Amino acid sequence: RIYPLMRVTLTTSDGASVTVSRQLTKHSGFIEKAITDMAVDDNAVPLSAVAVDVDDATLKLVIEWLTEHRDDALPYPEKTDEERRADDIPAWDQAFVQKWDTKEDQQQTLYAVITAADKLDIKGLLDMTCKTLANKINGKTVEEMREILQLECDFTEEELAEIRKENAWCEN
Amino acid sequence: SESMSNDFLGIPQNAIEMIFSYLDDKSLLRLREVCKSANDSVNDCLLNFQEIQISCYSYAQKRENTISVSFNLSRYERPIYEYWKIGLKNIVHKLGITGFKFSDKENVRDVTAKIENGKVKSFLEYLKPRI
Repeated sequence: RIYPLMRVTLTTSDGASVTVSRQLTKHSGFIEKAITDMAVDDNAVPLSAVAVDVDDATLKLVIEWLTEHRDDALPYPEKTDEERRADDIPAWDQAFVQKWDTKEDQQQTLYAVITAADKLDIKGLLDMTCKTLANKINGKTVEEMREILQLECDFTEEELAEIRKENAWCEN
Repeated sequence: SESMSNDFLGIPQNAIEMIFSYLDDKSLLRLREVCKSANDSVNDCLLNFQEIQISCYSYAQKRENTISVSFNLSRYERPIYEYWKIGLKNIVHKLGITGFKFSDKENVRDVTAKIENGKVKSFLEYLKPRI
């Protein structure tokens, strides 16, 4: 049983400590495992020691999302291929991500939250942020994808021609 | 512990695969043309169709003008099967074949098709270089 009033202290890679209720951390498979299996002292979970270097700014975003979704049902519902769709992101989540668009490094923020959600095993947040990134890419040209993902073409013309040939098998 | 990623291809593989799963077929393939790393990343998931070995375990004439073809790709990981689904769906669409089914059960990679006699040859011709 999870006691919602129980507090959990999370320590980030840059030394900050944040104390949150178990009602939020129950959505993180990693933190729950740390508390129940790894016998952490005083419910203090040092994220950098066992998971990923989640920094303070990223953890604040994660906690903001967890706070909004604290009453979501668990376990996170698995969906079949037919049920999976990227256009069903809740309005609050869309607004939450759009706030980052004002930041110069908004793409890095998205990558950081995706990475944190994966490492902390927060399935709902991981799913939502992956959908967000997929929606940015879907239907775009190769050049637009390069711009969005900030990746540069490093193919020779011959290599690119070969890939286009392979892709044509599916696309034409 | 691992560092936070500052670029797309540095985010965890599990997340990359989830993002790919939300891309439509054409966008996923187009991503291969972005750069070498993106190409490798997609290929790691949907992989090398040239190594595929299809084992036909059923090839039977069900009706006078229809042949039932079944094969399975259960020895391959799900992403490779998904790649084949992309390719096979395209072939099926082009040849106007109906009754094509892909199993979506976990660990079952069955593909079955009821193909009109006149289209079997074309279908196998498409597959031949990839078998």
